[in-house]
Amino acid sequence: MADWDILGKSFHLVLQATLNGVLQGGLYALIALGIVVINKASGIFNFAHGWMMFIGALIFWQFYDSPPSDTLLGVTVGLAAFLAVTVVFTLGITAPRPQADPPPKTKNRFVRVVHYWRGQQLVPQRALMFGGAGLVVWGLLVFLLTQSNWLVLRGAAAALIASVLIGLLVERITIRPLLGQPVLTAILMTLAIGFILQGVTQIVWGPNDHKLDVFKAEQPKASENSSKPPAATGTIVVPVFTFETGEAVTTETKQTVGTGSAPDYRLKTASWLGNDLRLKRFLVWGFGIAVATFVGFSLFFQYTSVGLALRATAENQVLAESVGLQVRLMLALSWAMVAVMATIAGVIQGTGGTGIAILVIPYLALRVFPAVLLGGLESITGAMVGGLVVGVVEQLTVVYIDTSAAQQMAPFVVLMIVLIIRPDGLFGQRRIDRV
Amino acid sequence: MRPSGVYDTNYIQAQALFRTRVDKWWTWIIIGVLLLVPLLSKEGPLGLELVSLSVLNIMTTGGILLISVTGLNLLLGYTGQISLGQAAFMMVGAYTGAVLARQTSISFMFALPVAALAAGVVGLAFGLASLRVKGFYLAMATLAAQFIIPWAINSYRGDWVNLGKGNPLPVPKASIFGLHISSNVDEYYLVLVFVFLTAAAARNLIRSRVGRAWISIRDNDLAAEQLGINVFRYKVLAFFVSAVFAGIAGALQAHVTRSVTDTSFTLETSIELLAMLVIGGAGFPLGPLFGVMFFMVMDRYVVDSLNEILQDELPKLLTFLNPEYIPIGLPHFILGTLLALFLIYEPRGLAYRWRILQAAWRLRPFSKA
Amino acid sequence: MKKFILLLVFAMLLVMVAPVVATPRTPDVAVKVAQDGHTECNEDLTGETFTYYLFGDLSGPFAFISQPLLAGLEDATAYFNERGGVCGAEIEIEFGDTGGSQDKAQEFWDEFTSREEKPYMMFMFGSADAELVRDQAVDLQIPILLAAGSELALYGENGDAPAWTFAIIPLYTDQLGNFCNYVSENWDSFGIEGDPVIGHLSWEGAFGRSSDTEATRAYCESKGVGYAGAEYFLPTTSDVSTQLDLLVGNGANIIYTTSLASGPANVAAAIAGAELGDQVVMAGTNWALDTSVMGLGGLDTNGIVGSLPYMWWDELDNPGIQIISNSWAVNRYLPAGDDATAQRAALATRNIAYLLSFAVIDGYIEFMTQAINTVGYENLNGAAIYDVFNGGFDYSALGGVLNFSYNETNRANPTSRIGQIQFVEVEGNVLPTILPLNESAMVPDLKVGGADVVGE
Repeated sequence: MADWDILGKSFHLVLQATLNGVLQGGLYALIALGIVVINKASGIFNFAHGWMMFIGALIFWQFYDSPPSDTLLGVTVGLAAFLAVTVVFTLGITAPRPQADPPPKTKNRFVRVVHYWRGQQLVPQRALMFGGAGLVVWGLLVFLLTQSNWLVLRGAAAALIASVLIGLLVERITIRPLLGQPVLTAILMTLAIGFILQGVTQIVWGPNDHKLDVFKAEQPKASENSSKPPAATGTIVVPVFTFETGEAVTTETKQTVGTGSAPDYRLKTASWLGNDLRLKRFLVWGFGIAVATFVGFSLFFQYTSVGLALRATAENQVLAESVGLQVRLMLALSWAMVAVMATIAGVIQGTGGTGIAILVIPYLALRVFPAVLLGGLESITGAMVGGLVVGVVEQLTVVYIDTSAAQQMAPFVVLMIVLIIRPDGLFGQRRIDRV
Repeated sequence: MRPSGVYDTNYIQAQALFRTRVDKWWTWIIIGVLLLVPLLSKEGPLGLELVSLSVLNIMTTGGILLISVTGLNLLLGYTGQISLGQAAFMMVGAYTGAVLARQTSISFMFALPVAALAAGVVGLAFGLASLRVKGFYLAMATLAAQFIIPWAINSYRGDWVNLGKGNPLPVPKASIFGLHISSNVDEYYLVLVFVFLTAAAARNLIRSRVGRAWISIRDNDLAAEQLGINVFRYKVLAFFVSAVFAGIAGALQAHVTRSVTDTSFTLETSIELLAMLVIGGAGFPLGPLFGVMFFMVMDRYVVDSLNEILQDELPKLLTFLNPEYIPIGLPHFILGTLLALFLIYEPRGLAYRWRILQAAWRLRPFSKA
Repeated sequence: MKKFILLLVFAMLLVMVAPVVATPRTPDVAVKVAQDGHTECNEDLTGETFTYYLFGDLSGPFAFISQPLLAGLEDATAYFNERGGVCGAEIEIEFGDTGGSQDKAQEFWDEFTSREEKPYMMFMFGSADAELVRDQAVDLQIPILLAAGSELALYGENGDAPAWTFAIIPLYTDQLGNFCNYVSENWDSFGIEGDPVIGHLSWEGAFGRSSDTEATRAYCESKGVGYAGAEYFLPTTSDVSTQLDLLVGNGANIIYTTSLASGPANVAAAIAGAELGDQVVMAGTNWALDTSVMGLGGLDTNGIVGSLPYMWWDELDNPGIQIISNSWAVNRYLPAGDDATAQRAALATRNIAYLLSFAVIDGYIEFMTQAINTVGYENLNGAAIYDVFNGGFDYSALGGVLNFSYNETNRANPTSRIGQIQFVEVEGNVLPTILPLNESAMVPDLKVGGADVVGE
């Protein structure tokens, strides 16, 4: 099979490109999933998704890469998280008293809140259970944030907390005031959120790109045939020259040089394909996480009561509210989930060759749009399939035409064809219009 | 919302260009002021410096954007079709205008309509998707234009014009009837003429049969079909007209900046155009004007002045931040915050608020607004 | 009485004015000589200021270049003003932030050029900005100093219309030609089998596509360096493995990239992931050799070869580099023990932009001085500076950190070395640096219709 040709390209190359496409498609799907979930929940197309990816990745990096001495921030965030967890769980540990007073006839919010809490009584079993769970979660988070051995977990814990908070904050401050306003206004609001997040990331983390050295080589590889200069690793030194000393003083810094990327995973196919098939490490992980997220969300939406409530909310907010669903809570929940998904996608791209680059991560979300539409705006399966299709189409176009065509034309041509055949995307909801 | 007592008693009144005398006066006053502005600048005959050249340039840029946003208003505000490809259609106009000006001896007066038409035809092609696709899916079909058109332009590999390779195209100075457009004032008047023309065209379209068909499609396309309106034809027409406006704006931009690059017509530009329209109020005649004015004033003046204040103050307040980073992120942060605040407090756009204020003025002293 | 008071007031006025009127201005016999090999000034302009105008993208995605540049300009002007500035006049910086928008670039150009005092010259670092105002600069007679090798901005589309734009680095085409010269002479040193074949893996857009032209292809071919095609990826591409496979499959063993920051890092990571490090050489334009790339790519970037048309930070025996290093150490560096994040930020300014800003200000002082000497401060304008450039301006800024060499036909720095990213061991630690591989040489002239274009 080593000498098979497919339309003039070697079988191995085509297979390799398809494989790359599937893996890249996994990343696209993960990003698309986030956009779809928001759209499902609140009917908003989220232009800020890329910037949510970016800020999430930067927070991950901050906790992954900073030396263990910089934990003050970690503890602060941990405490904030504790607060959040506590507040959430105390809401669940009380129940209404049997004989409650009638509600006061005032609009004063303070009076109403006091009245609400006076009408509640503690449920000891729940308090024990939830309080215990809260403590455990809090302890775990603080432990993760302050330890210095499992850096990935530390970064993940911080990014998880931060992105949940960001999601809730975004929903509360910007999206909720727009409930009931025209959809386009809400969509533009996501644009404003994008601007704000861009500003915040640059003010806090500066203009430089950051390396996320998760998939790093074990040790620098000695070059076999001296085609490269020998390389040292370890702490970076910087020659500090001043006229006062009159010479350069070699000074150690707190930075270390990265050992470089780990080699791709290899499938030993050289015997029958002529060459090994390679799998990019960060994309394999991305693909795995995308599949897991996909399965998780499908089950969540299908089989849990919260998922059902979310679906109902998405279907019709007014109706959902009228049957007693807490629509605003549902929206907050979906934004928090999407912020977490965005962070995951941002971190995965950050571990790739580009690092956490401002030219890459925020704008990657724009390139995923055709994948979202291809699958259908409301379909989680669609996001997955759309991502994979776009990934594979792109890579095969690279092989058969060139990169420019692959990235700027091919996905859209496929999208146009699909939309003409199926106007609501592959798995989108068929809308029945009534006059 | 008209003053009480102004009723349309026949179709001619309903379709009138100016329904009340106040409308008419306002229009002429605005036209007059806009015509007079450059005379107060350094390049004017009086040599006054009441209006700085930078203000004039910003107004020129704003005028170009206004033409494009007016086109978008016809499509989105009146026909209800979202487009994310307006910048791409501007690009078609800009490149057509540039190529014609460079490679042929066609005068600007003929090159511009050709450029507009070219943009219109491309817009129409992408608008064909509206036969099947609706709503946000349609927006994404137009998004395709935003990627495919730059790709097509950059992929050109002929000898006729030095296009491909993403190179910027230098554009020669335009001349109209032997008059060279070279100074900032010339450019201002050139753009102003087209702003008037397009605004009048848009106004006339809206009060004609076409406009009424568009509005009925926006309000309910199925009902419109029942009424015997050829929905598809009018949708495609809206795409065409909107792209023609974009093409005019693009060709003007090419001649004003005297250089065309694909980097000035990105997806972000499209989204910003959409933002301007929504801020101003989609579906209101004055919406584009308000939106562009608001965006330009905010982007060019408010953000700058807030930026200057905060650049000095923030490092003192937030000492844990690197003071060198603050000026980098601040402009975006301020712009985003202002935009968010605006959307929260004025979600239906400035033109809507304008109407409320007008009504409030008439009802004074009994109004609450 | 009235007369008396009047007389008194008059007398008082006289007394107040007296010293001014009485002491005649002593001519400065020893006009302040600006240090370090600058031309002597004929005039003393103490008390005057020169505004150094520049605009570019600070709040947009290219801030990682402009922020150190601004830091460098700040330190450089402080340093040179202390030593007399331009003939005693102080240099001020005025910066316009375009945020990457062409509209705003045009507006800043209009605003700066319509000032009461028309700028003598303008500095830019974006190719696109310079291309935008190229013709307007000619009309308004304002020379532009540009930190990019854009052929269009310098010579026009057909290479035959030199404008008022002057670049401080060689054209990207010429950089590639120079690289091919080096490869044809030193191919064995790379230790790679087969003849050298270049494949381009660059960013989509005018910048990325500027290296690979028919002229460079033919020139490299004539030097025995083959061509295996070009792939242009959007900066948002997550991975370029397939592109790399394709080029290597076509026989490329040199991957040349015209991109910056995350671009070269992405290509280097793809090469490392595919374990092709021993089979291909990675190369690029001068922007590929920068700390931003080394920081992102780590050891993946070890051995990247590219143009080095200036000196690098670690050539500390050069007095100019000493000045820059000293200034950086005093103003920007944070000693160990401080906050790691802040230290990282400080290290990020130790890059190409900070370095170049000193050299550019030094060059600015020189050509301004020459222009003032020629036409006098009263008559100084853009045309006078243009005449200095056009009449042959050869100056080695800061003792060789950067060479200016302009004349009637040449608008770009025509010399460059070939440099390589290396990670050198220093006492058990590592110093990431860029080492020159050869002596500075003239780059071939490969613009459209250039002198070294092969064929036709």
